[in-house]
Amino acid sequence: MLNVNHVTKRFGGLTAVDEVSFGLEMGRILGLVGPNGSGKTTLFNCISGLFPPSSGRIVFQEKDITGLKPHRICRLGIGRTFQLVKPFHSLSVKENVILGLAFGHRDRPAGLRAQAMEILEFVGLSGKAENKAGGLILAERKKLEIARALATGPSLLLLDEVASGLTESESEGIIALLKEINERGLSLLIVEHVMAVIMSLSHRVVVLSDGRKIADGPPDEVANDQNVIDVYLGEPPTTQVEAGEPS
Amino acid sequence: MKKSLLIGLVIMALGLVVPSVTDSEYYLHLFVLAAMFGVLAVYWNLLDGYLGLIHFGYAAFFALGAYTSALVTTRLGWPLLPAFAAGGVVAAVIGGLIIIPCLRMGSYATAIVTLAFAEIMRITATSWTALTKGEMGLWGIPPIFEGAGRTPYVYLITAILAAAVVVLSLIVRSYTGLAYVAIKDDETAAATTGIPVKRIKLTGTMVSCGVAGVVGAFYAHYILTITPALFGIAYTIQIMAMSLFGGKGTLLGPLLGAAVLLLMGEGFRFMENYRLIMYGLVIIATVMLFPEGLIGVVKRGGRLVSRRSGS
Repeated sequence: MLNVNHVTKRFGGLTAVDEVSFGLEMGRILGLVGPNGSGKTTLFNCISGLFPPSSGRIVFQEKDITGLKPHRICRLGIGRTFQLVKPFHSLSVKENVILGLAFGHRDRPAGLRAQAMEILEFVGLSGKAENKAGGLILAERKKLEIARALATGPSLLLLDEVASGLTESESEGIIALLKEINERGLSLLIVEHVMAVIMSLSHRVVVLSDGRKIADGPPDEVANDQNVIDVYLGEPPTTQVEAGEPS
Repeated sequence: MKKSLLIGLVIMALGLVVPSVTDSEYYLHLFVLAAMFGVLAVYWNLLDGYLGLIHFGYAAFFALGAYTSALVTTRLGWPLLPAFAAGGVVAAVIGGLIIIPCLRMGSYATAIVTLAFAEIMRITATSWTALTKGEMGLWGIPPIFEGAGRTPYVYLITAILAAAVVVLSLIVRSYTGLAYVAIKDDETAAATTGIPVKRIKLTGTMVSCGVAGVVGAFYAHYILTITPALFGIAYTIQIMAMSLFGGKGTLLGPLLGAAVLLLMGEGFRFMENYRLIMYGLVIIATVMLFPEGLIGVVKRGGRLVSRRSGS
């Protein structure tokens, strides 16, 4: 359903994403991993239209969406969340979700308020519906971002580090929520540092390093890939340094 | 909907009562000015308080409406109603054109571009003497009500104010109004939630500038003489001070701010041009001491009293 073809994004002399290609099938979960600065968020921004790629094509459900405005891409069915959560802090939790319903569809659906409550019920925030979004704790704000993205009626959800900064039990809650979203037929593209999340959720993993794709396959295969191990653990040391000795 | 209409009716009632309380030309004139600045402060606040767009050249669109209406009536002999509409449309269209390049910039750049545009307009109005008579000002503008004193002007500006406030309150309570606040909170998140950020900023600015244009047209046909000073930063600062002092991001705060500051301004008339310093101080004091504005202070006071009496 999503095809990323040779996408490159340059910022001046810096190539943040370099000729990356991958595909994501309907109903699947694809994990995108890589060290800091490897281009994961930039790729997300290209897909969601925040900045157009310098070259390459992004095709979503047989439609070329390369360079479309973010609100158009949202209305075509791609929802997203942010690494640094961005709820509309001066609005209520419910109003955040209502906005997704009111603007995220090509035609504004009826019964927005009831639908908003259903979505909040689903993510477990219905008790906070009238609270200001700015007053929520991090885990709740992450759930609110998911709820707001769901409200736009996506068939693909881009999730940027949805478990980072959460406690173990909180991130387990999020994993369960994402599984349930996926069971409802949504495809997920997740960027994650917490490997447990990637391993337990993804059907397939794409690894980026310095903007390039270095591995692509099932999670267990990728985890044993020599390139990936090198990138994460560094080159094998050539000279032995004895542990515990001050250098 | 009901609440919006109620606010409108209260404003109308106030306007109907004022001329029967006082027949002093001076007080009626003050009321007209307060209502006029009230509309301007309320619609400047639509940009700053709701949409998060700092417009530093707002008075220029007021002046543009005034000049447009004055010129089409005196030069082309247009009747007043289409002249008012022309004032609004010209201000809205030019207001929109100026904001288009700003949509790619941050809010500080927008402030500078709008400020610079207002200055360019002022200098143009000063220099293009063939059209505007320059510093001499345009005069001989036909009045709205021939030889009828101030009372009908009070009624008319009150009606404009009531309509303006009702419309704004409907906008603010609509989904578009929610989207305004969303854009102010986070533009990126707004865009990825399906909100057409640029289009909403553009239409919001056009509405706001258009209203300023209509009020400008009213001003031209009320005062009957207009000069390029109307384009100047002084008026914009005055409108900003009223809006911020009253309470930004609230519906009626700026209206309250306009009334209070205008009366205060009359009290400080002896200071002449130094009055501008007062507006500057008001802005600084508001932002530092009570950023939620007068209406926020009143609300907080109200809660305090009700809590005391409750316990």
